[in-house]
This record gives sequence, structure tokens and C-alpha cells, in this order.
Amino acid sequence: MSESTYGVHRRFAVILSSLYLITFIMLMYVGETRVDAYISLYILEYLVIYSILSPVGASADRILRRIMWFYVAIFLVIVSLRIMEILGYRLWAPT
Amino acid sequence: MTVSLVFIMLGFFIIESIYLVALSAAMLMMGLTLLAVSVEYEPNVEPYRVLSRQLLMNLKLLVEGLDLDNVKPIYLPSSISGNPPLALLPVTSDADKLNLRRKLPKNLIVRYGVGSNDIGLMIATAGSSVIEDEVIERVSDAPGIEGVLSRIMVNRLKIASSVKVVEADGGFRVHISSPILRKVFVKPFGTVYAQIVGHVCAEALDKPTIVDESVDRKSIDVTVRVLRFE
Repeated sequence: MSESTYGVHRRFAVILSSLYLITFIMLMYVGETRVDAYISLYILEYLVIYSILSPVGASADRILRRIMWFYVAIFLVIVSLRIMEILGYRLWAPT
Repeated sequence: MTVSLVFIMLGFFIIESIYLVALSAAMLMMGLTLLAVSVEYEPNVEPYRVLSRQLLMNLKLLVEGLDLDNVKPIYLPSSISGNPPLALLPVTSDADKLNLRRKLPKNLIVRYGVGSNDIGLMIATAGSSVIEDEVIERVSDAPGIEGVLSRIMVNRLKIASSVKVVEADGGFRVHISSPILRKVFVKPFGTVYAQIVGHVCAEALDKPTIVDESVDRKSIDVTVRVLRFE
């Protein structure tokens, strides 16, 4: 495999882990206590970084795209729970 | 990933720490991403293998068709064959009695000397394509050639673990350890290593060279003979 493909992999992993760390520290610093806020931001960061850096590689892209749809589904669940909470239907909302 | 799952459970149900859950979730998501990305670390060499096999088959047909499969190739420097340097397969002449012209035209079939039978084929080898991307310094001693060969085979191509060069019989003897491509053999050029050594020595010395090689499981020894050339 070419050096450039290794480069994209490394960049993807380094940027994403750095963003996750920065997000965690910032949210903790402002005293955020809702888990879904953290997870939503992690998911958004993943989607943005994947959109910018793809294609990463034929096999990796196939799996990364599946992970992306899985994250989108989780994100939709989190958003739906919050909307229902606003409308007064409190099924369960993560604290 | 398993560790992060354990931490999520721990943070959620036992310690009841949102921060631990959030950090573990980040770890879990990062683990999933790394798992996906690591799949690509297995290089897909199949397309390259198909392409190179087709090229090698054409070369084999050409060389066998002209009955040149036992001829010793002469690796020419770029000052004779142009850039990238090519190898000459002389059709009739003995390599030691070659009377090469100073500059050869860049054709497949070339008249390399003044005699009527001085005709040969000019073929690009693995060494030609290596030199095309590389600046080869003019060196004339064994340590200098060892440095260039190590840079190409060990550091850049990563097809050997070490290269040692000693001067022998007016030429050089090159010992290549752990040659991972030792089974890739193209008649009459030999292994990729012989082609690279032949071309690099020719380019570094600015003189035509001929190589002989002996291959075993753990190493390849290439003997380089430098042709006299006025």
C-alpha cells in the first residue's frame, strides 16, 4: 500500500482522537452532565472528519460507512428523545 | 473496546460518573474507527500482480521469440542509453568484445556498435524504474555504492534487511540479506535485486555493467563486473 494511504489512515485516527479529547475536556470544563450531549458531538465530529478525509481506502471505507449509518441512527434516537422530552413525553432521557 | 465497555458500565451503574461514561464512549467510538481503518493496512496487491504478470509475459514472449533468454544483459548508464537507463540485450556479440557507441538511440531494436551484427534490444528493467525516481550520486568505491543500494532497497523499497558491498576482481560483490522478492525471477535479467544492482552500479560508476547472481533462501549474492568503456 502506498505511503499516502497510510498517511490518510494516520491523519484520520489522530484528528478524530484529538477532537474527541478536546470535546471531552471542553464539555467537562463547562460542567456538562448529559451523556447524550457528549455522544452527539462525538458523532458529529466523526461525520465531519469522515466527509473531509474520505475516501480512506476501499475496504476501510466500506466499514467506516456502516459505522457512520450506525452513528446517524444513534444520533436520531438522541434527537428524538430530546424532542419528545420538550413535547412533554418523557420516556427516558439520559441525564 | 472491551475495556471501554466495562468502563461505561462501571461509570453508569457503580460509580455513577457521567465523565467516565463520556470518556469511555469516546474510547469505544475511537476503537470502532481504528478497527475499520486497520483493515486497510493489509495491502491489496492483486491488481498490481495482474498488471505486472501481463508485462512480464510480454517480455518473456519477446525474449524467447528472439532466442535471447540466455544472453547476459548489459546494464547501461543514462549517459549512454538516455534517461531512464535501459539494459541492452546484444543479439550476437560477446559482452566482453562489445564496442559500444557513446550515445545510443532510444529504440527497442538498436545498433550499438559499428559492426554489421552489433544489434541488440534495449529493455527497461526494475532498476530503470527505480533510478527514474532517484538521484544516483557518482561514486566509485564500495562504501559509496553500498550507501546508494541500502537507501534504495532497505529504506525506500523495503525489500531487503541489509546490503553489504565489497570490491572484488575489479568489480564488486554485493551481499543482500533477507530478500523478500527472491522468487520473482525474469529471464534473462534474473531477480529484481540483480536488475537494481546492475543499474545502480552502472549509473553510479557511469560505466556499463554485467551481473551474476546466486540466490539462496536467506540472501542473494550479486557479482558486478564493470565493462571497459572508452
